[in-house]
Amino acid sequence: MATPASNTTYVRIGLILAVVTLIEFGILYVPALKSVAILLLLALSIAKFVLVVQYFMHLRYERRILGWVFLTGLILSIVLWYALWAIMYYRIPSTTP
Amino acid sequence: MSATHDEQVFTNTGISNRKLAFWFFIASETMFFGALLVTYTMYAYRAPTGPTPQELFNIPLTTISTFDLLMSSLAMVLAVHALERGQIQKMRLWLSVTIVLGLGFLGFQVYEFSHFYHQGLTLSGSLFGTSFYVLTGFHGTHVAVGVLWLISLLIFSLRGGLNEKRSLDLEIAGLFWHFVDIVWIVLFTVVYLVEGVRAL
Repeated sequence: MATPASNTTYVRIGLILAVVTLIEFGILYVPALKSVAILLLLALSIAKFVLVVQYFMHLRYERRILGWVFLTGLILSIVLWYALWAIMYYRIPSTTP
Repeated sequence: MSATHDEQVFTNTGISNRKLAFWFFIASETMFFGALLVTYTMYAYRAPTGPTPQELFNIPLTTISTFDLLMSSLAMVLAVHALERGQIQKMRLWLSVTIVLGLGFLGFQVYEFSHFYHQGLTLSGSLFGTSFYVLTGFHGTHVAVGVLWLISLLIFSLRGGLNEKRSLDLEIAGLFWHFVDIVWIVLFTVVYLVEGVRAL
């Protein structure tokens, strides 16, 4: 069975991805946004990530088990990120006077 | 609903085993790139020697290469969609576009690496150099493998081997290609754009 999405949907998603990339680039030229720029860029990056996974990789049309498989890998890599940062920056409190 | 053009398979999950296995592979690759990315974020700014990211990065150029890769993903999904509908000529066209855009991205990366090398950023010269080249180099290797895979499918198609009954072959290659794309979406933000914000 073919995917329910049409060529028009894919082209729209492609256009949204292009525009979001342009916005990300534009943010770097607006000093007034400096305090929120990283948060904005991360949010836009997550939006692009989700669009590609959901539409281009067809996850929104697939059985849920595939989504869980992917999410497991994603969560484990985030846990790994946290664990490595913790190992790197955790300091054992000194017990010597 | 299972999306696609799966071969007539009868499995416990209702999904072709090949597709399920490939999603497990993608999950493991996610952890692989996660490890490389966290290594980059931990080491890139430690013991700075040699050229810094701010001196090297050309964000307008990287934005163009990002656009190139995103559009290759669009072309890839259109190729899969065309094959599902038995439109072989259209599939070949979009597959060729994907290959050309993939080669374009690799060209950008070769240019960037050679430029950085001539600016003094080497693989062993600094922690930034090591973590940067390993991270983006592995991504580039994945793009190169993807391009070779797509070229082989195009040749297979020209010999009449790829038709709508075998669309899963192209779909799985497409999954790999889109995965490479989502990895770059993250790298572009974490490696390049965050550096641009620091320079604001």
